Amino acid sequence: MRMTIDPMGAPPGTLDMMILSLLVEEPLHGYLLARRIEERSGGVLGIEEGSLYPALQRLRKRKVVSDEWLTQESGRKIRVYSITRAGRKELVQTAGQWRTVNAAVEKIIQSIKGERSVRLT
Amino acid sequence: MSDLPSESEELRLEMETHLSMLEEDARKSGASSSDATRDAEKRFGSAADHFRESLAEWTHKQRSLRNTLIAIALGAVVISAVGIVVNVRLLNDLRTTVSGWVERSSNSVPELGKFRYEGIMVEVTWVSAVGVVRSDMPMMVADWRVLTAPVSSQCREREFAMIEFEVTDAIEPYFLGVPVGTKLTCTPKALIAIDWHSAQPPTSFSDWLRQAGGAIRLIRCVECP
Repeated sequence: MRMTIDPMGAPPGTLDMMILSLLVEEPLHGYLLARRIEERSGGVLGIEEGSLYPALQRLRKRKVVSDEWLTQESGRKIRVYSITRAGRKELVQTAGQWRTVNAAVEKIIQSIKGERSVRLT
Repeated sequence: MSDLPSESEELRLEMETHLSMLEEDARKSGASSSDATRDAEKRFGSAADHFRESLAEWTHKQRSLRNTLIAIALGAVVISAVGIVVNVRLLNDLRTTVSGWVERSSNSVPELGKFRYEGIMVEVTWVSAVGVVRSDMPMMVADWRVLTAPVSSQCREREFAMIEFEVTDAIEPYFLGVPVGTKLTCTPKALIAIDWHSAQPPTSFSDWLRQAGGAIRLIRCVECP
């Protein structure tokens, strides 16, 4: 199953957090970011370019990522994004919150499963 | 404010790069590169819309800013113009006032507790048994004008009346030794400053003359000394 990240449907900050997480490893351009999200999620998550680039602009304006134009050997110009110190701080906070919420949701799901399994048996 | 037109240009370049990379990958994987590009272009649609909105917002802000700046500039021009007019008027008033002060001022200032009035030195002459007698007599300009008012109306603002009157019993004590019936001629000689110990200006000579009730005759108008 492949899911497309919908900024309107996803919990707030999901896409931003994924972008920041990937930029912690190394600076990336937009295309590679989109590919990485797909690869790292095991092909489950996909990101539309129409969501990715506005998100990158948003992050850049908030100064949590910085950008730099580079020219590849082929002559192609690429815009490479890097995480800033403020971005790292923000990532630590949002990732912590995400884990907490995720764990809580997981607990709820587990509890429902348990009840049902009891009834079913 | 960020430079959105260049941002828009950067986004266009970024999209082109993205699409060309996508094409390359599609070619490598054997998929139809044109299909992949077309799909990606569709997906880019919302990004383009996003920037179009930003650009419109930016243009609107630029226009508002320009209008505000024009309004401020016009306001500044109007205020400056009003300021210049007011300043010119104030300067004129000030110049007039200062001119008045200069005209009225003397080289010295009155002592503490004294009041300074504009005075006039009047030369009084009469014919005695031994010849023509001359005597200087200080008096207030205002006093002189009151005194000579009945006869000096023909004298203009910057002229003084030269008068003649007769010594009577009433004023004789003021002119000791001058026989009653003597005709006195009074000629304004110089403007002077009279320092007086009271805020009330001194009155003397004109009072005597007023009491005398005698006829004052205008001899001629003389230039302001």
